[in-house]
Amino acid sequence: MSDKRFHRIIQNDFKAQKEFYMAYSQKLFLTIYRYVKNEQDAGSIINMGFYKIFKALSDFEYQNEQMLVAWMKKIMINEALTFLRQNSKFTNTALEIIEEPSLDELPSDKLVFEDYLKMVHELPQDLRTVFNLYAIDGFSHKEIAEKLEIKESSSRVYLARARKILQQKILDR
Amino acid sequence: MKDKIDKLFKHKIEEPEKLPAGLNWTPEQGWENYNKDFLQGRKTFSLKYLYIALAAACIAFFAILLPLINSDSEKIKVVENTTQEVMQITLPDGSLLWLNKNTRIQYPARFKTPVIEIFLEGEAYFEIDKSNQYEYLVKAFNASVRTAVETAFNIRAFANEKHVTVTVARGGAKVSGNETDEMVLVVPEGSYCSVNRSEKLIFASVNSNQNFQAWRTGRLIFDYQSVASVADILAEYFNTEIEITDKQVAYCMFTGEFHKKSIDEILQQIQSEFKINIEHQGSKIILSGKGC
Repeated sequence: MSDKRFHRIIQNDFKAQKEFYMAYSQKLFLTIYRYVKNEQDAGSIINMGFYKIFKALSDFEYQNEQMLVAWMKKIMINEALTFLRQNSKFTNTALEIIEEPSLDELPSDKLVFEDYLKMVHELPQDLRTVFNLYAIDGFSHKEIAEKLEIKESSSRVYLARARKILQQKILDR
Repeated sequence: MKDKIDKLFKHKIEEPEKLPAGLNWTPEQGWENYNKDFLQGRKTFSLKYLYIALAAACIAFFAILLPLINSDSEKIKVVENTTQEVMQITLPDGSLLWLNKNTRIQYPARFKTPVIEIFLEGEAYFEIDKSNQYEYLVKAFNASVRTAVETAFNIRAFANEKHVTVTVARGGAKVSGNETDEMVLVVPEGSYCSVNRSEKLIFASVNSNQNFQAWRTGRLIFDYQSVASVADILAEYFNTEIEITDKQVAYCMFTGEFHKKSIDEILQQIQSEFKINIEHQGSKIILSGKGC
């Protein structure tokens, strides 16, 4: 992408903003929709995120497409977390030893993207958020603890519980 | 392997090719909502549902009783100047407004309330009519500008600039740096006020920039100014880059007045007074030489 396209976006060029929105919104919507299972909420969050992205683009140093997408995903994830926190705060949990699951058999090929997304959506909020942050978006427990204002140990417990539930769901299918 | 589950899910749901089945959201729909919520100003966002309910009630009522009533009284007008020219509009009370390029403004289609709320992003020059009986409240990012008298002022508020600048040419205005109006500065005629967008800092001073409305009038005035400062103003006005390589050139003092002249014509005038070489390097202009 050329800097010229950014320049027009920063100058509030309507057409350039629309073009940019069309190019990236689907990818970013899918990121948010993993965290927030209500479609309308995800729709508001993505637009708040784009508003912030358009404002912040002037400070963003473009190097490559991959970094641009990663940067935007981060903004969207933060928006989603802010939204989730407004609804209910993330809480700590007691330490517990959970036997980590071992997925021995491969799940059936019949399972499609929607099935996996549904399984994640069905997790309770704390578990779903930690699983998304750690397993899908690559945050460390330390970063998760800071983001959600919980202890690192709680983040580990949530992850283990999420894995266990997901494994069970796969086996049940 | 405990992260087998992680990998499986990451592979399946991180970046699917398409949206999940059964969703109503599409990029087109999302953009339409973005337009409604953000491009017409943040204010309408929270009041949107109230407006819809009110409008629905009004329409139902008047549709039966008064079919001739004009129902656009609640309407907000949005004007966006995407052209390369300055745009002039007349507000409902007869006040005049000039919009610079890349400027978007939002105002009530009919003035019915005592306070007229206007949202601005970009640069605009207001000439508020003598017979005006409204209080104007212009909001640009975190800056709020209020005026109730016959006033002419310029607001510069571009998204890529760190400050919002309000320059009062006639009359006076009150400027604050945030919604709560904790600190309000009275900016008199001939002064300007700068509001920092991130730190909410605000200060006012006597305006020494004669060219603050050059974008509108096409008139550039230099009153015994260093070539360095003239170059800065020209670079901004013509959206180009000017580099001065010799100190002797930078501190020559120049006086001149130009109306709708090109950058080349202005530089030639400067060149006729001092020993200056003008060189075009791509989009950049380089000034060098022995100077004065």
